[in-house]
Amino acid sequence: MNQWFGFLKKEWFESVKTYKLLLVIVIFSILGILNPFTAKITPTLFEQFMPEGTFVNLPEPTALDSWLQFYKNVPQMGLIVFILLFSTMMSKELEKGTLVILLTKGLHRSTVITAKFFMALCYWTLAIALSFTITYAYTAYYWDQSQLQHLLFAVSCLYVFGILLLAVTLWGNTLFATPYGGTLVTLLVVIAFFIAAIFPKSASWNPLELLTATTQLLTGELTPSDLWIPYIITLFAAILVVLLTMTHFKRKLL
Amino acid sequence: MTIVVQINGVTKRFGDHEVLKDIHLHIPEHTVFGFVGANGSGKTTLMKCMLGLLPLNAGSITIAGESVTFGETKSNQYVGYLPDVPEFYPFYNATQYLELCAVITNMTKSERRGRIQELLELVGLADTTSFISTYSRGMKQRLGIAQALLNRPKLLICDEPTSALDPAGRAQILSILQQAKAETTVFFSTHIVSDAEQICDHVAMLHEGTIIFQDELTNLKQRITGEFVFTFTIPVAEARDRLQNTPFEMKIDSDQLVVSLPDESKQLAFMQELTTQKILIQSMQPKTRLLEQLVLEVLG
Repeated sequence: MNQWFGFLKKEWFESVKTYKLLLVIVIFSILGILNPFTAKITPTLFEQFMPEGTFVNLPEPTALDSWLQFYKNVPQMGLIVFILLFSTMMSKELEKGTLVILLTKGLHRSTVITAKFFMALCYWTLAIALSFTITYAYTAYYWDQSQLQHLLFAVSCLYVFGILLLAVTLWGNTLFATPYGGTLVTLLVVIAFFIAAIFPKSASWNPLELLTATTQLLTGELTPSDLWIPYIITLFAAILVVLLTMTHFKRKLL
Repeated sequence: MTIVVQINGVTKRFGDHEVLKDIHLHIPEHTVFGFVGANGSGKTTLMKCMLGLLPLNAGSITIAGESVTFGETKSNQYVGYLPDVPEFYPFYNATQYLELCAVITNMTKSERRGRIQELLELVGLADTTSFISTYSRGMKQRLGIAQALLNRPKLLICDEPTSALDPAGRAQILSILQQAKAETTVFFSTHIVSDAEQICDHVAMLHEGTIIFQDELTNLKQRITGEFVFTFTIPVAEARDRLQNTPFEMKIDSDQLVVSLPDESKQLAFMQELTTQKILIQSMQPKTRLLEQLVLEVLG
């Protein structure tokens, strides 16, 4: 087993021991169940809570409603919780000094960054896969999904956007070496995307488009070819941020 | 004698504050080299420079012939390091942690198991299976030494390994360091001068970023003192009374006569006086001083 896998094994062991695995499984399973469930019971809830005698003509929920819940809940709740869970990837080690011994033993600084990022990526993959599969299975049980377009590409947009935010969190966390550093930098980057989104022209490149265009993808108003520029830019930016993190960490005083 | 560490003209500044000023230090192989200095004198900074964890402003450091560079330095393959407060992953036990270190140092699987067991026995953790999170400070220091010795380094750097331990813990660590000397060179910093005195062959003192002295401990102890301790065939008080009218400075200390004889002519004159007085010597030896005294003298 080489250094990289050895350190990755430590990352895995640590994430299990600190209940990250359990939390990701529980949270994203709940979100997966919640999406079709919310879509299914919303009309019933409306009927229950409206004043007696009020007539509300709500259309019957469809598979699209379930997936709209998915694209509301997973980025808003899931991704935020996920970023918080992994927001101390580096700062915890830098604050405590646990890396010093390993680095003086010859552990490459790039190994630390890439292994940590890869482990977070594995968890993000698990989270999305879990939530997507559960939502898909329940939605298929209740409704016909054949009308939905580009289901896999739409979820990959959310996945890729999450990868970028993970990379930014790792960079902020390494740069400031404090638990809040990563979260703060991520928040600022998301705010910057939102500010850019005020200008309609930014839609052609803004990574935020990957989150906001998912409904149109599902209804077929947009096709993957409409989103390939922000898609590639987001992936490229994520790789660039990881490289930047490695450069920063290589010059960091310990 | 082979020199394992060569530190030449090292200067380190943090902003305007010069922490290390033109440091020159040579550490011979298979010695225990004590690095003495008060808290904040720059000991940890020099050690971090030796490990490539901090960049130098001037000078150079060579370990086992390999130049130390900032960041990932090849010289670290020859070094084992124990930080002042070693921090480990609390979810591992000692064996698991050492296995991680062995993987990092690219140790072969066949070599790994035997070496880890050998080191755990050396530091007295062979029977401990609990997680590191339950370890005492002393146990963590011992595990720290085990990980530092894992890859049979040519140089073991220990930063204040005994500073926060009780007397029993200190004695254990010092004993382990002394044993380690057989296979490596030990460079350890301390502000507890008596610790350095117990196990060191060489001592250097850092004060306000400058090396004030460095030498073999035996030379240091004998330097400047010029005092000799005598016992005689007659009671010491009687000897002192008989020598009272001589020009020599003397005092009684623990049934021994301590006489100040700073140069050879005084030493010869005292011998002649003893012959004249017909006082027979039972023993005579140069008075060694505690290193602590020396440090206090140097610091004024």
